[in-house]
Amino acid sequence: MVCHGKNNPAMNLDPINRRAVLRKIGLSALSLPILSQTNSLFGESSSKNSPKQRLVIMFSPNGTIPDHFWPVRIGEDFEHKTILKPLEPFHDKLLILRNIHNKVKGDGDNHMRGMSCLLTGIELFPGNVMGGGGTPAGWPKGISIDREISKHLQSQEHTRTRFGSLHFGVGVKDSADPWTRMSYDGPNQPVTPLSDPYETHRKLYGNIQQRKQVHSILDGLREDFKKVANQLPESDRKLLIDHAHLVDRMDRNFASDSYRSALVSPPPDLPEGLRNQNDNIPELGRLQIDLLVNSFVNDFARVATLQYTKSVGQAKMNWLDIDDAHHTLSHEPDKNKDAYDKLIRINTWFAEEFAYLLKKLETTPEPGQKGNMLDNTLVVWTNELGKGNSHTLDHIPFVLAGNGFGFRMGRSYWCGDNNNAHNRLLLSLAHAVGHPLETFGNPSLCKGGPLDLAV
Amino acid sequence: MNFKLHFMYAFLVGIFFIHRLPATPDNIKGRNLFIQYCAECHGERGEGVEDEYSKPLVGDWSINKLINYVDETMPDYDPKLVTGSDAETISRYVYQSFYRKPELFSKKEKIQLSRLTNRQFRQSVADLFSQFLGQPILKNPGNGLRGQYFKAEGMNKRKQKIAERIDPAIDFNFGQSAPFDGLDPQKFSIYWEGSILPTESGWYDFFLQSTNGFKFSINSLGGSHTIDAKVGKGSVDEQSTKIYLLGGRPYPIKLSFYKFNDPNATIELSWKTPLGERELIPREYLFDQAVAPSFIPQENLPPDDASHGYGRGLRVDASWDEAITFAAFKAAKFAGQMIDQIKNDEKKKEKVMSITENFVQYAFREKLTEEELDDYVRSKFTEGLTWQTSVEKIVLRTLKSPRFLYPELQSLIKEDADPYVVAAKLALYLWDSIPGIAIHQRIERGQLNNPKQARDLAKHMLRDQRSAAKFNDFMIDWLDMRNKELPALSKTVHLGFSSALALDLRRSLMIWVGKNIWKNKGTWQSFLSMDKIHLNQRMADFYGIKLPWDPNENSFAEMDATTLDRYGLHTHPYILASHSYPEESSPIHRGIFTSRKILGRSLRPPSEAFSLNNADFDPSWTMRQKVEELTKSANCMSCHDLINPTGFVLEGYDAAGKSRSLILGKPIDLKVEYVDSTGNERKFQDPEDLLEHALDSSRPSQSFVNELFKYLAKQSPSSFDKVETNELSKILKNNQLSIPDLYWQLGYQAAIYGMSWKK
Repeated sequence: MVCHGKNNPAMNLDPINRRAVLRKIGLSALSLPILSQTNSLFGESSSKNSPKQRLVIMFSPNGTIPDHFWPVRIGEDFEHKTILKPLEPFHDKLLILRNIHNKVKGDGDNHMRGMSCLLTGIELFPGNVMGGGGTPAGWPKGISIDREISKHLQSQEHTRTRFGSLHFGVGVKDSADPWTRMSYDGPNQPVTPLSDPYETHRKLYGNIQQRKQVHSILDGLREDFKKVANQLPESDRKLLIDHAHLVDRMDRNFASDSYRSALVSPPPDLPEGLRNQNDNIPELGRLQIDLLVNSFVNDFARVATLQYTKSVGQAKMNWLDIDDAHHTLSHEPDKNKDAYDKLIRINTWFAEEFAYLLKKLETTPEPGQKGNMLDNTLVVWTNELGKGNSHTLDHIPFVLAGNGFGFRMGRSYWCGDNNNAHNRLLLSLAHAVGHPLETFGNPSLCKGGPLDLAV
Repeated sequence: MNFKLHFMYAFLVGIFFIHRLPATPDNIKGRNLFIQYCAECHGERGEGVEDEYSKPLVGDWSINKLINYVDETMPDYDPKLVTGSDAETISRYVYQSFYRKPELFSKKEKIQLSRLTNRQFRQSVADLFSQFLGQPILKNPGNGLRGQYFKAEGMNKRKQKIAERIDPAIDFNFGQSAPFDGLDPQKFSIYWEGSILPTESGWYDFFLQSTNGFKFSINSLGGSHTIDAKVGKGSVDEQSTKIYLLGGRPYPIKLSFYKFNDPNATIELSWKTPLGERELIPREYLFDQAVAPSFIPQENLPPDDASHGYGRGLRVDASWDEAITFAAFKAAKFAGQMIDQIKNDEKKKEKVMSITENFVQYAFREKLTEEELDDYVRSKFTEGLTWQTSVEKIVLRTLKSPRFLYPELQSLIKEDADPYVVAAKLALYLWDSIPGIAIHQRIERGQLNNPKQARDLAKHMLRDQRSAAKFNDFMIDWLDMRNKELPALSKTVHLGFSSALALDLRRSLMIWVGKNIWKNKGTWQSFLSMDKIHLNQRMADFYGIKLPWDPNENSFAEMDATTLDRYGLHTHPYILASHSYPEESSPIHRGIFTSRKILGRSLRPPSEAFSLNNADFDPSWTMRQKVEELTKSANCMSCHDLINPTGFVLEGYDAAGKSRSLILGKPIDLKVEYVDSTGNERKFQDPEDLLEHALDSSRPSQSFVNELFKYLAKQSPSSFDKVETNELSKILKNNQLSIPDLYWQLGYQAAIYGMSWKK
């Protein structure tokens, strides 16, 4: 599996020096496992003052309800229908892309291609995974745009970060298949999102959470040592006394705050014991968003994905008073008013989560620079299907927000060109970060080059 | 070529004196001379002098050897000062007053408080969780994995089961056909299930190679150690997972294989054992029964103090504490996940409480008072905390507590024979672990209240796989295998001696330990004489033996050792090859092993390393001639008179352990003279003579019993003055006690030592 940032060339600090540095700043070896994969914990980012460009791609599954999603009016005064209503406060920062299709053909059913070709723009290998239709398929034949952009940014000193890209999951089931992965490091190389905020926390900030928990039992432990040592003859106590000193040492290490103060923004506190399960999806998602934004503040990465469940995801959104499973609902015909209504509510809820992310970025000042983080970030909300019950790959929802990529925002846009394959959008993303690829994914779908979204 | 030869000074080990000898003129003279010439380094009473000869002057040389040695080498600053009759007078005085009386110097040692060793920690944590996950036990299993072959259709990979069979190894290339009639060659799936039983503890890598889709898991808990490669990549895909496993314990394995229109159908399951050789998993490690997974701490733990030849937990430091803390934290997380899976109904509270209370009691190896249960468990379930979080905190504190980490704490505090203390010690000594549910229940039923019941329990515990696993681990020490690379011989001189063969040799020896000594309750005689040997095809080919069975059927088969010209454990090819140079045999290394282990003689570690340059010698010389030349000085001979003959007598085997009758075209001279510990000179014609003498003498079994005791109890037997190691070694020598029975008797005696039983 892929380990993010593993190949970060900036990590090649001499291990002995690194240890000496850590000791100097009072870090215990307990926090070493995480620090061993890091180098830029200590304010390195402050030297990089050119405006940053960040990309977030948020995914929600199973298609939308087009009539309640797409604005009818093209241009700046587009209207916000039910599903996009939560985004109204960001009107000026939105770019709604219409008439863009996933035109990748070949093996795999539409869910599979919808998902695995969404960011790669290239066919799936023939394979052994049989979906609900079409032919069996395997992994896609190429890299995804998020990883491509991240690689580009990592290749340059001034845009290089600790991880390059981070991949967050919310309620993503523990199964590796083309319905469950959208990021790829290359042909046949799926990237697994981190679906547990505690795991994310550990990856980003090391063992802080663990140390906190260990700290909470130290008083009881001290009592134990005192009690047993008192019962032992003097001569047998030495080892226990040595051991008790180690407990005190751990306590002192916890108290020393140097690790946290080295960060631009301290890690968010996680609630204790939140289970990684269906009912907690809203809370898990918010935690992941908080962690995502915090990782940006600390400049751990410039690219992130945020994946809610998976293609064919079966979340039961009890928090919306919906007991049915999402994908099953999405197969219902439009005339099933109940299902139709529920699907609108589900997609509206995703829009609210998207809005939460935008708000979080907008209210977070850009460290060391003017403005807020949304000014330097492009957030894309997308889906693997245009519509659930038709399984169409036409009219894939693409809602762009934020000013990070220099696109002209505050409008809805109709792609009226001859070629409206979504590969052109993927190309635009690369071009916007100074990575002028001629093609991305299947070259024949790139005709016309990048969409010109700046004018 | 340069060989590094270690020459050993064989002196004897021991201590102090105060014993009245009759005040004869000789004794008085001897004492005066000793004080004049020897006391400066050896102390006035032979107790030793720091920075000089620090150990007591005791040992197992005969009087003649001692006189000779003193005459020629002592005092070491000027050996001419003491010669002739003076040397004899001093030697006789030394010999009679303390040299043969090590007990004069033995200080009463106390049983030392120690923490769990790494093996004990991992084993105890694993068994603690197994009380709730189920102890993994195989009952008369067959070798191989159970394979079920399914028709697949669309997304349904197990549409219809067509066949089931036991597959001895996973190494298939079905090409474009189906493994069974009735399966569509284009679309089928296979599900293999069973377990793997590694014999040694350490890090294992598992490798899956396939052109198709697969999903593999080994000892998976909550999705750990799982490779999900359901999506085939169309070409050969290899993936691996690394896991720490405790030897002697079975772990579940699951492997699903999916073919769906791929041009090929191949799958291979291999592993790399801690010894580093990658190979298809041999069938004798695979079993057709599924078992419960075990929670094995995966953290790297800093090595235990092994300065006494066995791992002991005598020190704590920050790196150990941090490793243990991290392991405890992981265990706590896992416990939280387990609790999370309990159905959330009105009984959940009761269940969680009871599980957690038992967890703490098993970990502390005793019954807790109500007050303690409140403190450790009940008070932790507070408002606002989820079950999971509370349980995490309880488990973390429990595994970090001295009551868990210092298993003998209670026995040092309590004097009465508390059955929990006895059970805890038995589990520690026999298993390196904790008593489980069954033993706790035995205690609650009042069945551990006297020595007889403790004996019964010890005997019962012997049958548990954990006793076998611990004995196996002891043998790794005893056979000089610990942390030792496999023998790597020159491939040009010893054609066909591959690293795979080296691994076979080691396995052959350990299979014999597990089967002939442990399972079949081998006696001392069967142990030293090793009349059976296990061979596989590769060994048979290399040693030129015809195997009586079809190599496809069995990987290893048992044969009479004489078929392979073997006459005793010291002639096992692994022992011979692992005590050799890459090209030639090493009589010195072999002699040290044989002297110490087979003959039970004591040798000091080398005090100086010599470098032997092969080019210094006439190329027509044999290894025996070279070693004789090199070690001929009196100083060298103090040890090498013991080492050389016990090594030369094995010269009938080359570096790879093959028998030979010629060296450099000349017949081999195997005849040696060996002075035993009572000063009798013996002539050995061959390894069999040496074996006969070993079986006849009492030192080998004494030494073995002492080593085993130290390994079991992690303490010196001198700390347990009532433990009858001498008695037991006599009975062992007379073949009235099998080695496994010796094992539980030692564990039992150590466990009840110092306990007074209430009437």
